[in-house]
Amino acid sequence: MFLRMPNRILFSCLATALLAAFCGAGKAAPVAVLDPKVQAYFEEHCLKCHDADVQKGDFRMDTLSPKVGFENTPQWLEIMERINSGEMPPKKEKKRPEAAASAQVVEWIAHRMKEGESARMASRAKVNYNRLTRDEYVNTVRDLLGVEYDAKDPGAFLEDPEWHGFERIGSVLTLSPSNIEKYLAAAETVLNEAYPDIIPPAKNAKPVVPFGGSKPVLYEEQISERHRERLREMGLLNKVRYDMWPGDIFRYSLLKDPLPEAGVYEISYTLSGLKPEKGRAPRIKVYESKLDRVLFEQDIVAAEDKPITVTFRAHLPKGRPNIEVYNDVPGPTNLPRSGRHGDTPFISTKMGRIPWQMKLTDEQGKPRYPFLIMDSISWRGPLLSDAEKKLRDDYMPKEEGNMEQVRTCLATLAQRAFRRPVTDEELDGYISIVKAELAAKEKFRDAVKAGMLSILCSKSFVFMAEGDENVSRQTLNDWEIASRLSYLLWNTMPDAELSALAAQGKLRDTAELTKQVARMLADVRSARFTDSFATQWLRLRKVGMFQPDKKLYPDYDKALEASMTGETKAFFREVLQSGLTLRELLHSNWSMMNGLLAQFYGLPEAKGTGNEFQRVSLPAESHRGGLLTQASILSLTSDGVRHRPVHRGVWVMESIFGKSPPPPPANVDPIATNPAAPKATLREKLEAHIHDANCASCHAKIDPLGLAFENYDAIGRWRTEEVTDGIGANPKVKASGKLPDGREYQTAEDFKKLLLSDLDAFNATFIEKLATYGLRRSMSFDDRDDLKAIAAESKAKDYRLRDIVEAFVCSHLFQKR
Amino acid sequence: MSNLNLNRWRMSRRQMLRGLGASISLPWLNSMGVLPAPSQPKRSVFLYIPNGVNTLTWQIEKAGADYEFTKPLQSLDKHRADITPISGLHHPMVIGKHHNCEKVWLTGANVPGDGGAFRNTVSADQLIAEVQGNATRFSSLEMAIEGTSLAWSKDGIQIPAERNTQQIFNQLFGVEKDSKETIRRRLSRRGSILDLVADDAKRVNNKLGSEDRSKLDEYLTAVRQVEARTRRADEWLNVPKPAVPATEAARLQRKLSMSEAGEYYRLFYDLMVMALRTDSTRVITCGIGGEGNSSGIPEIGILQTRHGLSHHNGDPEQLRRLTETDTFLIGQLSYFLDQLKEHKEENNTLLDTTQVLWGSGMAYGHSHGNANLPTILAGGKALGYKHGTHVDFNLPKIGKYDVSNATEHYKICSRPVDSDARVSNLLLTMLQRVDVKADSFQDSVGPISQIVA
Repeated sequence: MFLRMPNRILFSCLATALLAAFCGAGKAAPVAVLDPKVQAYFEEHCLKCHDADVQKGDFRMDTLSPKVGFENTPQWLEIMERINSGEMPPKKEKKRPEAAASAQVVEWIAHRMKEGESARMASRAKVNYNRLTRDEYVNTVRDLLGVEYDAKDPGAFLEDPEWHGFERIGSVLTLSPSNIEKYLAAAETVLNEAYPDIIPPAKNAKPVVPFGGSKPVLYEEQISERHRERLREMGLLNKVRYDMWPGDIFRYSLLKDPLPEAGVYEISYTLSGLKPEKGRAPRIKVYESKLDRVLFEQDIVAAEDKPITVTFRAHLPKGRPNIEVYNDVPGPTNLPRSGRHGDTPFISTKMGRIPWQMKLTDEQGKPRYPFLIMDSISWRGPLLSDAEKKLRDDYMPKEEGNMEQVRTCLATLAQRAFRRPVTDEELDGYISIVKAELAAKEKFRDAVKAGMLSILCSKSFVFMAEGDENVSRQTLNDWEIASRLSYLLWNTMPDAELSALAAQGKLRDTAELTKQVARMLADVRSARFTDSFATQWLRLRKVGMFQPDKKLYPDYDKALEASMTGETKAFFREVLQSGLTLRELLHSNWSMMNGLLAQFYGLPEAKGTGNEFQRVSLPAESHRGGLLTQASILSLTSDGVRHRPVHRGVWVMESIFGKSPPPPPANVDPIATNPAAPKATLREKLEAHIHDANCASCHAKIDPLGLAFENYDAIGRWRTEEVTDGIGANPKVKASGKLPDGREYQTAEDFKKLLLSDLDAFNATFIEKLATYGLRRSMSFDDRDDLKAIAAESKAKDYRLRDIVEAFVCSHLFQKR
Repeated sequence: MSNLNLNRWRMSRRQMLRGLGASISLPWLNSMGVLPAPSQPKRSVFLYIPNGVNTLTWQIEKAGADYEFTKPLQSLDKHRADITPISGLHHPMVIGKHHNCEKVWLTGANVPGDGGAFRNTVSADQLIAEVQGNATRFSSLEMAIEGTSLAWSKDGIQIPAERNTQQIFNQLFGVEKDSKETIRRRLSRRGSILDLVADDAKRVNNKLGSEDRSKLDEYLTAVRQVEARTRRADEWLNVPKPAVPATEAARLQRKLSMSEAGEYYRLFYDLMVMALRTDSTRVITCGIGGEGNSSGIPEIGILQTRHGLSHHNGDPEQLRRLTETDTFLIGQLSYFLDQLKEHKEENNTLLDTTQVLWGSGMAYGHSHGNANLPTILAGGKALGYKHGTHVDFNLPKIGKYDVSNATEHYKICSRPVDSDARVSNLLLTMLQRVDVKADSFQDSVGPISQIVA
């Protein structure tokens, strides 16, 4: 174990530490005896007033079950809290325990509580129901019906609650009436898009012209007559472009016709992007203001005379979208001047500026600011692939009024939606809805849609069920394995191949599972696994949660933020896909860069590093390598103004060691303020705080894990001194420290090496996190042998990430309900 | 929690399964009944501000009628006769639990300090909605400027808040595009679909042990409640939504953001006033800011988040800014009270029939001190309130305040001076003012008699 703490002062944790502590213990999870030291403490300090003879406050301790965390939990919790708060033993007692002794008891109980809690969270009902997360719903509906549902638009789905970063923990994903209302509304929207009303064309109506085509940035009639004629004479009327200063908005993206249906549209912009020599590239951001959704963004570097075309797809409702295009880059806005294009159309920077504008270029004709210059826009859509069309056709009867076909169609939909075979009883229900609708004089298609609607709102769709209500079983059946695997690696329902294997009962065969893992990881959809697992395990959603202060961090913006989290996700993906090991996660001599991030880190810009992430070697003096010194990880704990070493320490403890610090004691004196030394570093201020013995014992274990990164500021920039308010030189930072086990480090680099020397600890944590993600529950004592087996397998394969994933899928744990 | 009662620990396994969060819930639910809605509107609004205040400049030092407003509270002077600032309240079960205070401000539930599974209990506003909500189109309205919802259902599930003002406007006043018949058909279709999916879930639920079916129970409860809402929507179909005059409608539909915080706050307050004026609902909760994500206020030159400011470490400049934000937030409250006063119905102003609770679950944010919570009760004269004094639960024990001794004052803001001075007492009082039959709420000791006429 990495943190060599005394045995009984282990932090509450799930698997890692317990593997050692409980080695060889039997299946019975609760420990039925009190720790001797704890027992001695109770005898000396508590039982005098709370035993068979005396029961102060009507409270008796000697009869409580020694299965702490499993029985008499509220009482034990109360005892822990009262000792922790210093309320017990009472202050008036002559012989009071040392703070350290009390802390030991509190930690021991807290630890047991955690065990109990894990066991409860993992407690096996006959059937476990895990609600689909928002992302899973979207992916599943797409694969089921070929419809994109915009779950993050205003009024659509709510964000899912998380547990220690994990968003897919079954017991935490609650369901409120709002969820049901939103499921209903979402399914109605999705079905209306898949099966729009068929309006028969009126007699003598003109044939419908398919939607799509190109438009110039400005139609001729948008150019004032004076300039129009002048430009026509000069032969420049078709050369009109649209120049965008940093922060500028362009509002003329639409064709003359509205979008004929809701659906996926392909939109292209042809444009140039002028990047000043020592500045950021201009960035196109396409935003739909009604939906409050960014449709596309990308840095653009293209010479003025060599415009490029960027293309993207967006799911949009029927009608006229409100599209705004921004040059989304910090820079001199030239406002109000830049916003005023006047009525003089732009042709070229060579033609000079409009009188009220600032200079566009320097003496050499190079751009002074990041400009976007737009040429034309084209539209195509709604796009529907043959595969998507077939999906929709599968569920809608060909023949009007044919109830046989209704049954077959709904059976197909239900089986795919429920990810298992459907019963006749279930089908009868959906048919009854169709019949009732027909009886209410609804059109046939609409009646069938009502049947589909009930399938999409049923418990079997919105929950992934594991288990059987009729018999108790301990392992998954093939259908459940298919779902578990598919939602693990693709975040969506099983595809045809997995379903077929499930139907044939082949998914408990290790060779077949291995084959499937290889197939699924090779598919682009596996990026959903790497992105979402990395995000949840490493808490990447916290990046930017506290908006970095604009004055202190002027370069920080959403594009940089996305690049930061992008690096971490791409890095994790690369380790998986290139057959690398867990060591790389702790330390590496390479990383994944795009242009913006390379500039931010001050790394030489590799050729072609534009928007895409590419693997680059890190120079020795880069101060980067591995996850821990990536900007995303370093900034996710900061408060927008300053870095927070304690939070960094907690993050390392939770994400790398799989432990959670016990709750802070409730009733210590409030933290005194100490503004006396304004030029003190945060570290110095922190060290001045830790005077209370109750606090110090835990902080000695947390803080060294965060102080190793003092050389990085709140957004992860390298520094040697800390910027502090006040007059005088900024103080130098100190990144050295001592771990609880006594080992010392001088720098973050040293710290990473200490981690590397204890790879088994991280191996165990990583596997526990992967299992928590994959099984949608926290790990408990009952899982420890299984986890150990996977850890051993990992070690045998030299901790190769890909092998760990495979070992997990093929493990007993994965098949366990 | 001075008195340990062993009965309190007897609970079903199901409660245990919900984690430690629910383990200290009292059996008050049994002591309550549901009344039909009274005809005279009795309204309630709950407003949460995050991260506490600068307690040194905030603290009103004198109790009783001749108290003086401190600087950040000055703008409330004109409402003196309609408000009661209260000092010394706390929620016993979240002392020292950091920012969790936000989740339990209206529930008082226990939060496990270590991040373990948390299950909340019902919030006061939802108990009120049960009684007062039957007479209106919406039994309650949950919104948030920033941060999350304050409202929690009886199952301890958070009732989501709407943050988009245009959505709120549409929900309250938007005119349906479809015809009444089409809507009625849709509602009836939804009704039969909900019936079907509920039956399907029930069939399985009956086969599961009664102890182990909490997720399906959740689904069934939610489906049943949506069925009830669907019926309610059907009943309200013949009553047109209130027509908002065009100029006001345009004002209420503006798209604003936190970059113009004052305007943005007032838009929310205006929407609340309009919802109450039109009797669209009688119960509103609004999170003004979240503990973790409350933005700066650019128009008063403060760009730092409120959370950042609250960790001021005694820096005089940070403290000054914190006071400025406090002043700003109180200014907005004062505006809201102005608007409520402006609207008369019969003999009362809207404020007279509306009890407004404004406050935070934190007092001294720098050290996460959550005792002596900043709390202001306003309005509701017609509901039987007696306003005009500063009710203070600290002074009887400490004699007097000395904010020049910051360390001592921060202690008052971190540890309860009077362990019986509980927010739950105030919430109980508020429940009783609007006809909720309850003798206790969570860990309440009793109603606050000083504020009742």
